[in-house]
Amino acid sequence: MAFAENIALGLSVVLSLSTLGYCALGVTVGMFIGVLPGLGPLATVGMLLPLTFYVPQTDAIVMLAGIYYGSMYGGSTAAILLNLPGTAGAAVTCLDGNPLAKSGRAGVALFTATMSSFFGGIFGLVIVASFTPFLARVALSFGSPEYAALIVLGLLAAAMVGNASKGRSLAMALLGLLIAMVGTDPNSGVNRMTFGMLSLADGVNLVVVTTGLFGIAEVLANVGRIGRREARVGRIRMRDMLPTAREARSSLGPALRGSSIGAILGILPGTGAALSTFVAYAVEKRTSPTPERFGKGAIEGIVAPESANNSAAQTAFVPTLSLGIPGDAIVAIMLGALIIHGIVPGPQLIRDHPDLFWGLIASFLIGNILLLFLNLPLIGVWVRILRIPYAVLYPAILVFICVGVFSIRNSVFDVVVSTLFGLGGYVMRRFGFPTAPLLLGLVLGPLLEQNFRRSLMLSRGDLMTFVERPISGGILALTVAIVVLLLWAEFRPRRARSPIEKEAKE
Amino acid sequence: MFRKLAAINRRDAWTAVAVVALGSAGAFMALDYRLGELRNIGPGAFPLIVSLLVVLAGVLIALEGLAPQREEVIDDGPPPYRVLIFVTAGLLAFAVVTPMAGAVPGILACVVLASLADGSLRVWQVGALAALVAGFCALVFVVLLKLPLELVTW
Repeated sequence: MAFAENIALGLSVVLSLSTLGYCALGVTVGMFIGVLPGLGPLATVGMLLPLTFYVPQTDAIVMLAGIYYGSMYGGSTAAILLNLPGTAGAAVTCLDGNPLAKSGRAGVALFTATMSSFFGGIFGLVIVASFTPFLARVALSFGSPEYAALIVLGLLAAAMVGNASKGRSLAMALLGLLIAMVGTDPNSGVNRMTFGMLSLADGVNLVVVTTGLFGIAEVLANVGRIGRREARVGRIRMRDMLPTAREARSSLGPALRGSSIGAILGILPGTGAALSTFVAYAVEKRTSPTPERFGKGAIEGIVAPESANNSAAQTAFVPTLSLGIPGDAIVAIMLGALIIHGIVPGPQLIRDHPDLFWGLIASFLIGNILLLFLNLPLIGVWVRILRIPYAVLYPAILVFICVGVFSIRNSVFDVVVSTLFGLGGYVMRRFGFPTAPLLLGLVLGPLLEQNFRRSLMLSRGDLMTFVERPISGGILALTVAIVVLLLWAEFRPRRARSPIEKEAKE
Repeated sequence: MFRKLAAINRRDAWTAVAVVALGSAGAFMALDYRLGELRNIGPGAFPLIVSLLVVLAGVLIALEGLAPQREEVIDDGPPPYRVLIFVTAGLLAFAVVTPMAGAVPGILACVVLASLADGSLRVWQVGALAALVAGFCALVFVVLLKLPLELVTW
């Protein structure tokens, strides 16, 4: 059977010593930065991207992916023990995880979070393995108009489906598109928006923007705010970690619902893990017969978001590997890594690089199993890491950003640009602008412009080509429907915001 | 209550103005490049479309500011000037020192200046941290990963 052959191929790739090593390294780094508040997967993947130029392509992607889903495991640890989300995707886990820890059941909360993460991860990986090849086959018939339409859908989904102000998110996605245009236009050779600077002729590097907007801006926002916090937990023994039989039984439903929500939002381009946790939590609370327990240590309140964010962290690879359109901002950077390694992302990827695709899938499996062992028996180590003061951490983060950015092309100009993006990102945050849509716009900008231009060339300047072709027309109709629906929700006369949305803002 | 509402709207209004100005500037720049015709659009057309959409987004932000019951503004307090200054100084120090003296002096300068942003470490702790980070970078980036990075050059 083809499927078994593919899995065997993947395992043969992953079980080589070097790939296995990079997988282990990736999930450990992911776990580490996930545990530490103030350093997220986005900044880390951006920071480490230049280093992967020196690593074989499959190993590079396996490692970067490991950082992403590893951080989803780690994020819950700080959320539960300190009421401080280690990553954006763990913010919701605080709501019920921390009350459980305060009532002396930190072990149960951590165990549940890990098992839910594992469940969500495996669920997501099955979706990726079964759905991606199918979608890629469909996408083989896509032409430029379809791609252009899909990118517009992804950008608008990223901008509109979130808690932040729609106008601000939209402005950020568009600003990303504009920044993407800096540099030499591939069609005409004209230098666009370079302000006459030769260093900008190659455009603004993705790593420079990411490390600035997410690494440096994050440091600026956190210094002096993350104080020394003692995680007051005694020794957690394995025996104390097991939930009661009733809790275990009532977790299955939330785990399945959470994973499914995560899978849908993960596949939808532009929306990712963090958003899926809010939705999963809200759904669980609404369908529960006892919603009043939520926020006071309900086990379902941990299971649903933790399975959702891990599921989404895996399924974000579906559109990336089948269409070449990233599922969220972090995967967008990995897409950039693929391009740097000379792999053209798109429907041909699975056919042309089966070892890469199936190796990555197999690495998800191995990585999730590794994370299970990294989490449960070694929880004491992570608790100790939580005690590293931020004053020690942030200068090191800044240095890694400098070295990472500098090493792209030995240019200190890039370090300065990155600093500017850091300051700009910090200001934008203070004014309520979300920064992830900008990154998505930056990655998708060149793809959108190329496909837009090519479509018009093929149709001899007829704009109707986007609407008349059934698939692209359908995608655009869906896009319009989403925009109208969300704008209506934004401007209709409304009651006070629900508590979960309030908490989500914080 | 009313004053608070007015304050929120003013903030949104200025944000909207800034976004509209940004879009206009982009559109203005885009006009420098050839627009081309529909069947073969030039390098200026796409930036022009996107810039005009930015202006539209600015209008949307203004409309959101008018809508009643926007969510409360998260007040971050006054800008942390000390943090902004010393973190920036640390990063720029790396950018200035590295081409002159190599990566290790650049790293040391970056750590020392950046740690002043928080100021909770003692002098010997800063020194130890700087040495540790520099040593780690030298080991991982140069010895293990063989990055073309010059450690000390003078």
